[in-house]
Amino acid sequence: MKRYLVLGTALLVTSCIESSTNVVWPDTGSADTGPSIDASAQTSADDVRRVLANVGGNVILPTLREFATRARTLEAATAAYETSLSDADRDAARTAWRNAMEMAQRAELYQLGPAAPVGTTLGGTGLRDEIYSWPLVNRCRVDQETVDPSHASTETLRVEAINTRGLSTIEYLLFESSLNNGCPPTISINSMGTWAALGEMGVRTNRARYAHNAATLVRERADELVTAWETEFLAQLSTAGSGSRVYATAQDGLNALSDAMFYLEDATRDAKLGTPAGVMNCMVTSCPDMIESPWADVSRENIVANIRALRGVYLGGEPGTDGQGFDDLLRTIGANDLDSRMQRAIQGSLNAVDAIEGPLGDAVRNRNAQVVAAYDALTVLVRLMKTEFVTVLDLELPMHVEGDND
Amino acid sequence: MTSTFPVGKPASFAERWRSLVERAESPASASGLVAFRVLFGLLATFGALRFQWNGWVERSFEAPTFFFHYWGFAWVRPLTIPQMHALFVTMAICGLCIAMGLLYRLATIVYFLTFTFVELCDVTNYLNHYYLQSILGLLLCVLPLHRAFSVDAKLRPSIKLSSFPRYYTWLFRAQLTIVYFFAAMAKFTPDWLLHGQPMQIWLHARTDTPFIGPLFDIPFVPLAMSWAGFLYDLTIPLWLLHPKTRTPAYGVVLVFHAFTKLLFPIGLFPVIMTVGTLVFFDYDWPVSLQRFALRVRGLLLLRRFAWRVRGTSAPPTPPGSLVRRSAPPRSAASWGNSVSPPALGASERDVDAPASLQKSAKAKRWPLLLAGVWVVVQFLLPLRTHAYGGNVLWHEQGMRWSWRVMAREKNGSVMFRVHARGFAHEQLVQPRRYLNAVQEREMAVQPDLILQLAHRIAADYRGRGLEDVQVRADAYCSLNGRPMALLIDPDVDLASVEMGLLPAPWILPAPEGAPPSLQRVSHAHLED
Repeated sequence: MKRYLVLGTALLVTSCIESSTNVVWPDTGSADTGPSIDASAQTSADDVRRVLANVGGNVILPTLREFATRARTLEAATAAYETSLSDADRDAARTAWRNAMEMAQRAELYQLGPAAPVGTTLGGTGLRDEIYSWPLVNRCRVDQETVDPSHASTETLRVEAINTRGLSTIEYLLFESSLNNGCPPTISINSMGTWAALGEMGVRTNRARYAHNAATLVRERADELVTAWETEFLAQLSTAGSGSRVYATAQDGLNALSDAMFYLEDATRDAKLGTPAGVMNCMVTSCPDMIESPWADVSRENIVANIRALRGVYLGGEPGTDGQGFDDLLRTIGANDLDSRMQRAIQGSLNAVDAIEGPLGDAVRNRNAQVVAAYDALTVLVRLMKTEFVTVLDLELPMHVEGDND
Repeated sequence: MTSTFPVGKPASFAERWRSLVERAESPASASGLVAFRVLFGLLATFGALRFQWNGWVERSFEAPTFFFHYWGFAWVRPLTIPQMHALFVTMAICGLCIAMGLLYRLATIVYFLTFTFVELCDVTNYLNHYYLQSILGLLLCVLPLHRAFSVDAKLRPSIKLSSFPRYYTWLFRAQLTIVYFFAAMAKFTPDWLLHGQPMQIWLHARTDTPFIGPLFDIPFVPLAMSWAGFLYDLTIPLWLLHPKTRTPAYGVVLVFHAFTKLLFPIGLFPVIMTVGTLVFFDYDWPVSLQRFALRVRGLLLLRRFAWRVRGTSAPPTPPGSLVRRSAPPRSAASWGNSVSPPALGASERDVDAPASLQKSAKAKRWPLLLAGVWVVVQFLLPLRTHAYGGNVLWHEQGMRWSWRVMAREKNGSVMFRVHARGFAHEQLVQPRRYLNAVQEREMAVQPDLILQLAHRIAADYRGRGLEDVQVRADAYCSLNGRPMALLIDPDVDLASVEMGLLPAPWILPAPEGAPPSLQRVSHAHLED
């Protein structure tokens, strides 16, 4: 009798789960649309995998590919500028940098897997820092490299510190019009006169060559990032909890995605808005020197790109498309009100940043109230994310290392 | 002496009390508590090594620049990392000594002090099962469980005993019963029993669990599991206490804790409870288990070599078993009940004590009295939360040391606002400037920790020479999926609020209303 009871229970259980195991192994060949997932998702975990597959394949990967394309354009433009040193080619290089930076700022919200720092995130290989090292920016170090021969080839440049290459370095090299350096007089390039010895032409030439080599390295890393996603990571993300070697459960994959979204708190809101506006980490009325991208004056555009990137992950695509994202997960469990408030908060943040008139540096000095308003709007969104959003979806906050709990 | 009552005459309260006391002090086999001692020691060793192996020493005591202290224990500060590692190595060694019964007194005291010290270093490391481990460690300090089957007893036969007073075991049973009881009371809430929260939130995120995961999406399952957890905590001690239901109840214990271990990251809590509930078995359960195992082995041998086995009336005494009599064990005079120990392996039989010794037994009943006081204190401590009123899961006053295990899902967002003389506007201070991610998460939902950090921030600003420093907090919380609400009055200057145990008026009331139902309603709209 007991045997039949056990057998019957086993049959009952296995019949309940049978259909949920019909997850097709990802076909990484069709990378444009992401791996194939059984449309008849049976469990919440299957819902999550659909979101991961869509966001990974239709939001993140296209962004990375577009960035790689623009990085190639930047490389070509800086090569032309290095050759001609003409103002026209310099302007073209600057435009290419702005375009590349727009995509890089979107990718800032996608720091999971290969882009994430090594050792702190599952699957992280640190590629983001190789491409863009902000807030690790040091103008003086770049000036020192401009004098040093190591900037003259990619082979010697690639082993230098990350704050001497990457997009922030290229920004400085292309957009800094002054021929002065940013080092104190005691630094050797000043005290020994090696900077002055370059002369105007030498500074221009070195900076152009340096920018081209740095752009080459950025392009290489961008290609590497795309390849890592296309060949391996997208599949690992899409099969989280169903064979993935990186994510043991679907929830782990979802956590990785939400962790990346919290870039919006520390970086976008606090470092890019709050600190320059003087509301934190600034003991005076405002700290315009702390804005991101001070030379190209695209700080406001960077913030807009960040918020749009988060919106893409949250909605599973651009507004109006029907991709699977966090909004779908919330509505699947009846959290429609939370979803509505999240979407309003996202739009409110975009509106507030768009309402900042002129470059951010100028706004911080002369129209600080607009910047503070944008900070407050982002706070509404961040607060929702840190409380209801993570609670309802049982997510962990970033950098929360696994430990015991009761 | 076994108290008897005249037939037909109901016993008075005094008589019943005397009978109970005598029964409590009567000797019973030591083997059960010895097994508990061994298992606890091994668990202590494993736990200490595990903490180090996972890198939690560095994460908990090196990375943070600020530590939250318990009220009255601000003087407790983490040592250097090498010293903290040394403490954990010490704990591991003490665990082994406890298991072996070697230098037992020293080992238990050192273990209790080091373990408790580590826990006192930072409130954000508080876990109910760490608290339980401290308590059990303290009980081992005062109970002479090394006097049977131990290296100490081997080296000093004069201390050797074969039995302990029953109330030793009763003490552990009472302690675990209290844990289970208040764990049940923590679940006796509308959120848990009527709305199935936060179980619904947790299960929804765990449908990947092998075999059973898909069941979690079935609408009634979260509520059913909430009730199952509540009823388990409430009744399991009763089932374990009754001889007829004890064994199957222990099977339920194993299944329940294995299940919770599978689903939730609750560390060694299931193991501690699985080991701890062994005290509910007969006092001599290891001996009975050994006999059973020998019988099974004997039967197997009999079947295999049937043509060679001769029938015997009793199994031979196996070597190395607890029933072996070496040097005559010392009688149980240490607790004043100098009686011949019961036949080794005796279970619930009462043992007659010579009348001449009963007076000394009465005079030395203070350990039993202390045990009673301990049980009463342990029972009253979790009840203190009722003095604060309101929803303890929200305001957290009286939350710790009350066995509210896995009772809520709560997340918060805190930003501090600092104003000082000369400031043109408020300065915002992110908790992350002082805390690591784990600390921030714990701080954000516990008002007393928010207050502590506010004091630290104020001290930092005063240290820069600023005057009239005021610190306020924008602290929002979501409890069990509810919309977020303010946890703390944002207008109160926390820098001027004294820390203490009195009810805090600056903590705002919990939001009213039921938690949302977050049941997976349909996946239809996810289909292409």
